This record gives sequence, C-alpha cells and structure tokens, in this order.
Amino acid sequence: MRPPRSPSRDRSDRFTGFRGYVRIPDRYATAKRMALLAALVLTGLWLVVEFFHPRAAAFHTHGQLANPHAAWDHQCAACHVQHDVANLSWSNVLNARDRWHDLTCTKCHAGPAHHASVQEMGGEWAGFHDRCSNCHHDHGGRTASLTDIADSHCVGCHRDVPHATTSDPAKFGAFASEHLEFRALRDYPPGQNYTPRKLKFSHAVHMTPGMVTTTRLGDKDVPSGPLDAKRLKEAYSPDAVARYGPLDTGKGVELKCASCHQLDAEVPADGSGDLPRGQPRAGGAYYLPVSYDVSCKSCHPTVAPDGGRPENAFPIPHRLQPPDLAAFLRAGYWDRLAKHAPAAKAMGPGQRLDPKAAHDDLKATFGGEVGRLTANAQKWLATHPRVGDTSATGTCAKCHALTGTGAALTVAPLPQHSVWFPHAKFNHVSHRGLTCAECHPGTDRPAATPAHPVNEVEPIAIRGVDSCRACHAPAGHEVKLADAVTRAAGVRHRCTDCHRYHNGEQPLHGMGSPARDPRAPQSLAEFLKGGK
Amino acid sequence: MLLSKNWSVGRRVAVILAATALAAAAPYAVMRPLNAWVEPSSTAGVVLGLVGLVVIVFEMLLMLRKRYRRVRGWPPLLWNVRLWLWVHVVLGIAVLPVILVHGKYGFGGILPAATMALFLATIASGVWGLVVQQWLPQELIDEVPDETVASQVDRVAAGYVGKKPVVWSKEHDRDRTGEVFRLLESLTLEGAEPGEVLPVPGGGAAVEARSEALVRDKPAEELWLFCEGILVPYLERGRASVSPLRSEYEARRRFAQLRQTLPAEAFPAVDRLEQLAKYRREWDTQRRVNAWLHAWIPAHVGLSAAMTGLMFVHAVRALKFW
Repeated sequence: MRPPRSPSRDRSDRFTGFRGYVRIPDRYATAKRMALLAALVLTGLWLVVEFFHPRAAAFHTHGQLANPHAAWDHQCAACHVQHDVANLSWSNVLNARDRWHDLTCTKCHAGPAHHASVQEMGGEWAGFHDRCSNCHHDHGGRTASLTDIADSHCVGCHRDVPHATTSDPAKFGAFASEHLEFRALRDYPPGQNYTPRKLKFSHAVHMTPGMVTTTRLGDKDVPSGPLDAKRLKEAYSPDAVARYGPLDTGKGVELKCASCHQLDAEVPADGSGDLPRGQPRAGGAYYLPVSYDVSCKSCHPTVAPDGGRPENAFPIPHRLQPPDLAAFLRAGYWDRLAKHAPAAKAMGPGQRLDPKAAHDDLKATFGGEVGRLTANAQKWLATHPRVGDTSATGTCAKCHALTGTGAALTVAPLPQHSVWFPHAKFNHVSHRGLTCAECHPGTDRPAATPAHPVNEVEPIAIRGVDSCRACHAPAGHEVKLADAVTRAAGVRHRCTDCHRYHNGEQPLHGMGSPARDPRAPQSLAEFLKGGK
Repeated sequence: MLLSKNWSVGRRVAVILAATALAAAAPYAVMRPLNAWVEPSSTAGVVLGLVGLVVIVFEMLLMLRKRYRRVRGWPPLLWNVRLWLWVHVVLGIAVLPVILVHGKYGFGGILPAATMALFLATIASGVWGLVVQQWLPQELIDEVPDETVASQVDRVAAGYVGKKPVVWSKEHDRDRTGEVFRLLESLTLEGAEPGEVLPVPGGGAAVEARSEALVRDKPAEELWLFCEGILVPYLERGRASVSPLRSEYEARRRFAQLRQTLPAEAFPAVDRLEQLAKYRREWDTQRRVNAWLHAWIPAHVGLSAAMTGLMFVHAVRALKFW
C-alpha cells in the first residue's frame, strides 16, 4: 500500500477559499502593528507629560536631592546653569559633565576662602577646589549628607602633597593606616619638647586625694598634711571652703576633672547657677580655657608679701606684668603704711607736720619703707619655688615662666590651647562616655602619692592617633596601642569626620561664620524658585 | 542561518548566550576591580551614548528594510536583507556593552531607567528570538512532517468536513461534503451503484457494488456519533474543541475501540479518519511552535520602538543644559 500523500496535495477539490490570504496580516503581523502603535502612543504621552507636567524634571534627575535642597527637586535650573541652543556645539555636547557641574551654589552659599596653600598652588589643584560638586555630591536621596565626602576626594591629592608643595612634607591616606601622628604630638613629643606648654601645673598633685605631696628631708619622705575640710576652713578663703569642702571624702579633698575644666555647654564654674532660660548654650564640643580667677584663686591667691607685718599684705590682681606690678605694689604699700603708720595716725584734721624738716625726714623714711617693701615683693614674686619651699607658693614663678631680670622681668603669656588641633574638629560631648584620662594620659588620679611636688610643665596630655583608631577605623582593623593590641570598633573614620575644609585658615568656624553668608538674602518666592 | 548549520542546536544557542553574556559582563569585569567607571556625562560617556544611538537607529531601520524589501540599490550586497539581518544581530549584541558602559551599569533617574529597562528587554527579546530561530525550525521539521500554512490550519482541517457557506448560521453550517462524511457514507449507506467512485485511502477508487451497507445498525450509529461528536469538532477547532483526540494516546484508544465494533473491511476507512485526526494534532503542534517562533517579534518591535522614542527624549533632555 502506498504511503498517504501529503495533505496539502491530498485535497479532494480545488482550494475554494480566498487565495490572497497571504496578503492578509496574520495575528503576529497584527500584534506587531499594535505594539508599534502602543510604543508610539506611549512615547507621545511621555512627551506630552514632559512638556506640560510641572514636575516633569523628576523624570530626569539622577536621584532625589538631599533634604536641604528638596525645594528644587523639580527645578534643574535652580542649581544648574541652563544654557540655550545658541551654546550648542560639539564641544559642549561632549562635555556634558562640565555643563552639568556648572552650578550656581554661590547664590546661597558664599563659598568661603580656600586654604592659602591651595590658592598658592594654583592650576589644576586650585581648579579642583573651585568646583563645589567635585566634593559635594547631591542627588543621593533625601537623607544623603552633602558633607559626608569619600576619602578619595581628599587623599587623591593629599596623598601626594609633598610633590606639590614644600611647606607640608606629610602624606595622608586612609585614617586607619595612613594618617600620620597628630601634628601637635609630632612637633612636641612627650618627653622631648614641651615648648607649647608654658604653665607649670601638676595634674598628679591636684588629683591626689588631699593633694598630699611628700618632701624629702634627709633620707625620709615627709608627707605634707592632707588638704581637708578642716584645713580649708583654717587656711583658705571662704570661697575655697564653699567650692572644695564638699569634695572632702575623708581622705582629703578629691578634685575631679570638672572641678576646673568646664565644657562650653556647662553651667558657669563660678557657681552662679544654671544658664537663665532663653539664654543660648553652646554645643559642648570644646572645653573653656581654665581661668585663674575661677579655678585657682581660691586656693592660690596672689597676695603682696607683708614684710613681717600682716596688715601690710594686700591682694594683687592677676595678669599684671612686672612693670605694671611695681606701680601697683608701691601704691598698695603706700596705702597700707599710711593707714598703719603711728605718725599718720597722730595727725588729725587741720594738723600739719612741723617743722618742715621733720616732714621731709618722715617722708624719706616712709618712702624708703615703701620702696623696700616693693623691691622685696618684686624679688619674692620672681622667686622660683624649690622643692619643699612652701613660702614661695604664691609667687608668679610657681606657675609661670619668667624671662628677663629686674625691670625687664616678664611673665611669659600663656598660649590659648582650648583647641590643640586647629584643623580638625572634635566634640568632647560625643565622647563623654569615656573617662577623661582615656584620651588625656597623666591627668587621672595617680595610683600612689606622688613622690615630690611637680614644678615643671607637663607634656601635651593627648594620646596619639592610635587611640582614636581603637574606635575610628574599619571594624576588625588591628590597632597597636601603647600597651596593647586591639581591634577597631568600626566607628566612622572618613577624613571629613574630623576635618573641615572651608573657611580658609579658620576651618573650625561653623555655618554661622560671616564668610559663609550668601551674596544677598532673597525673598521666599525667589528662594523657592532657586534664587537669583 | 546566522550560525553554521553544521553546529548542533545546543552549540548554537550556547554561542549566542555566551556572546551576549560576554558582551554584557566583560566591561564590568574590567572596570569593577579598577573602579574605573565611565561617567555617563563624561566625554567618553557621551560618545558611547551617541554611538549607541546611531547603532540603535540602524537597528530600527531593519524594520523599514523588511517592509520595503523589494527596494534595491547599488551595491546589491548592501541591500541584501539577510545581510541586514546578520548585521542587525551582531550590532544588537555589540551595542549592549556600549549602552551598559554609557549607563555606568546603573539606571539613573526615571527616564534613563525606563529607557535602560526597555533597552535590556529589547536585547533579551532579540536574543530569545535568535535562540528560538536556531532551535524551533528544526523542531518543526521533525515534529510536524505534514506542515501546512499556519494561518490556514483551521481552513485546511475543516476542509475534510465540508465547505463553509458564504453566509454562516447555525442552520447553515458546513455542507458536510468533505472526506470525513464521504468515508462515513461509503461505509454506512446502502445501494451503492457498481463502479461508483467512492473515496478510499490513497485516492478515489471504484468500489464493488453492494446491495447493503458495510456497517449497519448500532455500529453504524456509533460510528456516526463518534465522527460527528468527536472527530468533526476536533478537525474544525483543534485543541479549542477540548476533544479527547488532542491526546495521541487517547486518540489511539478511541479508534481501537471503534475498530472492535466494525468489520475488517471498514478498517482502511477508519485508518484514514485516524490519520486526519493525526494531521490536526500535528497542525496544532505547528501552531504552537509557530507562536513561539514568531510571538517574540511583536514584543521585540514594540519594546525597541518604545525604547528608541524614550532614547531620543533622554538624549535631548540630557543635553538640554548645553
């Protein structure tokens, strides 16, 4: 039997249907046309929305603007310089990035001066800093930070700073591994260079309970008696009793760091109470300078020596240089002697010294006594106290470095060290969970009574960069501390977490700095439109 | 065929997928470790975008070239539609890394993201089409030896039932003069004249005159019921008829049952009826394969057209701040 023929050849009659069926679009051809039509319609709708929807710019943004700029999410021209067709050229088209980064930030942000070193470099280096968007990237979402800048923006150049400048040979990279020791500690390492410290002060003595010190007499260390509430009442001012009496723990007065160091956010240390309601309070980033009048005077009053007669003693104002002090002493002694001299007391109203010779003699004797007391006081104030010499504890030289002699004697002014790292920001409040001594070695309560009073300046009491890395480095990063090896906690560690760039040589000036003021304030309507 | 026919289907598909994956991943593999991305708005990024635009425009021209395939010019090679298709495929894969690098392997804002998504979908649909074009034609030859014109399957199959009236109504359906009914009549009608030509498998032939029908009474009734209730609807509407004959196994079983009630002389006619059902099954398969083979084209065309439209909008808006 023959195999069946193909059905296309096996019809019993001729094809009687529509022979032009091949010209009729099948369902795929129809679907193709419909798809094309749909695409055209969709594109057309998109164009309609593009031209007529007021927020159509949102279709083109790379992402939402950060919260401070949220008002201009749909107004590209608020920040971007809008060019027109007249500017169309190949170079413009191909440099789209440059055009997009042609921004008008300075309408609202003054763009404070750069570091002088950057301006001196000029060329490419300065050019990089001239464009805000090279570091500040927006369109990263509402909560993105405009100041949280990747390290690559900084270390791209600062890793090779020595190549570009001779003023700073330091190279910087990632904080965890390539950041040098802090400059203050590099320049003045503990035990080697105390130049920036001018004040002789011993944290060890002041943090010892009762401030007990020992004096070597012969072959024995004789301790001074502890300073307790009883002794405070006997020998110190009422102010000292009020401030330090409550700190008597039985072993004597135990000072705390906060007894002298006050955050800029804290209540006044002079006991005047909390800040009045409505009075602004600082953020607490830094400590206020320690003030003699607030923290030292009650125990260490500056008093003119009495020359053997207690009625001749009188308080001396702080911060007087010796030349000014001489006149003050002379006037003080003159006043005291005049009050207490028998001759002065004997003369009543309308009386006169007579004869004139006697007047001159008394005047010469009186003046000589004033001069003697003044000279003695000047000599005494310049005395450097020796170990165990308690009589010199009120002299200038106990705490201050003196230069020159005689009339040229000068007390070296104290440098301002509220901020040791002027190019980095640090917030003490953020770190108040730690004891002060964690970061400031040698300032805590000593384990044993100090052997002798310390009459020298202390080293800079700041731990090195490694102590910061214990927290501020990638998690698990090995950190070598002075006495241990630990693993970093992974707390933020970008350049911009510590360093501020703007405001030239005053990077610690915040947003309120006049250098950040806009060119001109604007009305609300103009501001919401992107400003002029 | 764009790839060697001497290669197996698996090898051809593997080459296509590997080429696509390589094109997409190679730049990423180079740029990622070096962290050396091309910014979309940089000069290199804009150039890549413009190159991509030109390539995509050329890709879209294939639609016009096929629409006006009779247009010829000089040199003839450049007007060869097959060559255009080959270049379309090659450039389609080549433009993938161009656009991905231009987009920094990201999506960007809403419009760039929509454009990129459409672009990726277009590439995916094109690659899918290329894959099925390698695979299904041979499958069709193997599985459907009695292939017919796909769009005419219903018409051809229903032709075995009868002609369709010019104006159809419930009362005036097909005229039932097709092969199925002629076979039924040859088995069940009495009084065929000697020498009358009746349809038999293999072509019409004269049958011997007989005074009584070959199949009578209940078997004849069952035969008619089977054909009218199961076979004819299946021939007319295929799988849509929900006929048991859709299944080859079930069809074999049903025809075997039918033969048990019929005399052996009727078997050739039943064989022919079974073969008609088999044709319809093949053609249904053909239609399914045909759908897989061609359904991607509308998707590909629609996606690419929408992508091209948005691409131009994106280009103009991106360069607006010139």
